[in-house]
Amino acid sequence: MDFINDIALGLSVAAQGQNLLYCLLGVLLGTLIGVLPGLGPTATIAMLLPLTFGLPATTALIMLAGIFYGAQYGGSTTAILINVPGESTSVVTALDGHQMARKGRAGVALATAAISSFFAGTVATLFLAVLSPPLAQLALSFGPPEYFALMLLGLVMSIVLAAGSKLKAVGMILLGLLLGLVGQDVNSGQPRFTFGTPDLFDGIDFIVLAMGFFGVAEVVRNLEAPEERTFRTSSVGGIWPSRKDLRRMAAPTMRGTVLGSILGVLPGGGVILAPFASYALEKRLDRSPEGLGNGALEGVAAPESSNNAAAQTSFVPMLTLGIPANSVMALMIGAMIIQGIVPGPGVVVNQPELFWGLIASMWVGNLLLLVLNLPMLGLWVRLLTTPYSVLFAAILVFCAVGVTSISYSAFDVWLLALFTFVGYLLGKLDCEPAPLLLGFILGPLIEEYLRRSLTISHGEWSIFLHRPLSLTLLVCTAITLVSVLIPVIRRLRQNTPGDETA
Amino acid sequence: MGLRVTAPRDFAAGIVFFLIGAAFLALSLGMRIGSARTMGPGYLPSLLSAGLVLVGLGLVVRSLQVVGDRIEPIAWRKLAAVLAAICIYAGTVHGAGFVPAIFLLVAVSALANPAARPVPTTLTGLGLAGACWLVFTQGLGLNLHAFGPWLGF
Repeated sequence: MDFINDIALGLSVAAQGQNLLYCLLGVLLGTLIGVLPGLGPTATIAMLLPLTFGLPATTALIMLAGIFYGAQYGGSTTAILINVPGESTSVVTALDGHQMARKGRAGVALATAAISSFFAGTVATLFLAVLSPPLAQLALSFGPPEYFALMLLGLVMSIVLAAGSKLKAVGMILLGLLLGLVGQDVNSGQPRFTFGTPDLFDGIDFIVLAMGFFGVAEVVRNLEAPEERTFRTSSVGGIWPSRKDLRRMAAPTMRGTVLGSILGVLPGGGVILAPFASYALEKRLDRSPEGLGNGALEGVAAPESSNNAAAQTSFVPMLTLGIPANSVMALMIGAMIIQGIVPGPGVVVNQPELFWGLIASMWVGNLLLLVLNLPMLGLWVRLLTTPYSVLFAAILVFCAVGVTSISYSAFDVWLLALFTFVGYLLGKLDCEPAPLLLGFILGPLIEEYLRRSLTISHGEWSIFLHRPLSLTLLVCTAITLVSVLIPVIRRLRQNTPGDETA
Repeated sequence: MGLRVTAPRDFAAGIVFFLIGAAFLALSLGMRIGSARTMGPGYLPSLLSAGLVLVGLGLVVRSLQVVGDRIEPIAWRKLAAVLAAICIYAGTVHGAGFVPAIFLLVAVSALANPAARPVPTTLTGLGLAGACWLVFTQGLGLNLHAFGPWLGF
């Protein structure tokens, strides 16, 4: 009966006026920004984070979670209507979703996305509620070596899931880890990489880093390619799916939910994988009249449900272990630290109101999305017709003011300019920013756990191999690493210039 | 196999990683390294930056062996305009206050957008500055001067 009590506690927290209000606000703002082309959930959360500084911890996290799935839903809307996926996760939705829009079924496509996302969100939230407490209990027995091994596994997994060159992902992780170590060393008190400026003593603020790499650099990139808007307001069509549509939606949604829920838990960014995996699965099982890729409903329901399920379950490692599974969760951890919460198993055990309140409000947020978004569709559509020069200016202003509001220091704004510059250039060289952000958040944690582990063992590295759990994790890490590197090595040996254009 | 860069993106990324890694390494080695048992502040940073240097070298080597895409042209003027706009904002936000700073940010960044025209840009700047003034001083209570000491406030 514990479970029922916990859920009841969560619902009572989520139903408090203030929390409900901020959940709604988060969902709305998230959708609003997420709808804007070129801005994914990470950029949206980074931009809106400063708004939550003044709120109590639970309310702040509820609002941020709302922003997250709001932004994701908004991204799907953009993908379906104008074929501009906000983030990699909505790339798949754009395939069939935009085809449906072209055939005048944009409304049904959007409704399909909303309904399948809601279903997936509901199931995945339950999954999260059932899975988290035992995992947190297990995590309480983790010592520093287990944490170190787990973080290593997370970083290596993010290499596997990085699109493009794996070696570049390694480089970005290392750079992120190093940037994370900027500031005063906790143990010796010695400032590191601060060039004598007191502004860097407390380290680089992760919001500045995220806004530079994900927000402003992205805006500059968008300026280069004047986007095509192959979209007419008149073409949305009817919203309500027919009974036949609903029946067609059921099985793909179910499969997507299961697949997404499982992939989302994986450290290192299973969320990115989820829509692709479920689309691939549907492709194999395809029996739709149009065929997947030509505007089939199944091609929207499956990736959307698996995307949303994975987004929910990616909270599992964040809430139970304090380890981010992707760049959004990295931001959430940063937000928790700002609120004075130590992310980790302690949250489930010591702050049940926060934990269960957050979980319950996720479900509430998903419900709000479903109820609000379909009627408000017209507004989002109109938003898409905003001239880019206005959007561009607004995003810049939001980032600049947001950064200033963190510590009222102009220095952070200079840093924003620097990170924009570096982020833009690295982007041109196919270096993705997500592994960097992950490394940045994990940098100080990894150092701390490594230090503690080796202090316990009196400097013996073998401590990681003597403990069964950390050994298991390290073996997983090694297998993952080898599976990534073998193709790279093989290619290096065989290929001479001219063989390959990848 | 001649030494010719066949994957320019890998090559450039390798050089960037190498240089950043080398800079971090030089700084890390200036700190106390310590031992595995009692790590100094330079212990992990020197390992990580050495790793970054190696990744950089690896990319450079690979760029000579595989064929990759060209580097897309970099929009220096647009980038410069956006960076200048942010820097001007940073330089004026405390002195002139955030309302004029936001206006300048919008005005200067418009140089990055060929589609921008003077009148709409001015209106956008005024509108955003006004909106921020409303939201931040009236609503959220941001602890910043709307109009700063330079303007006699």
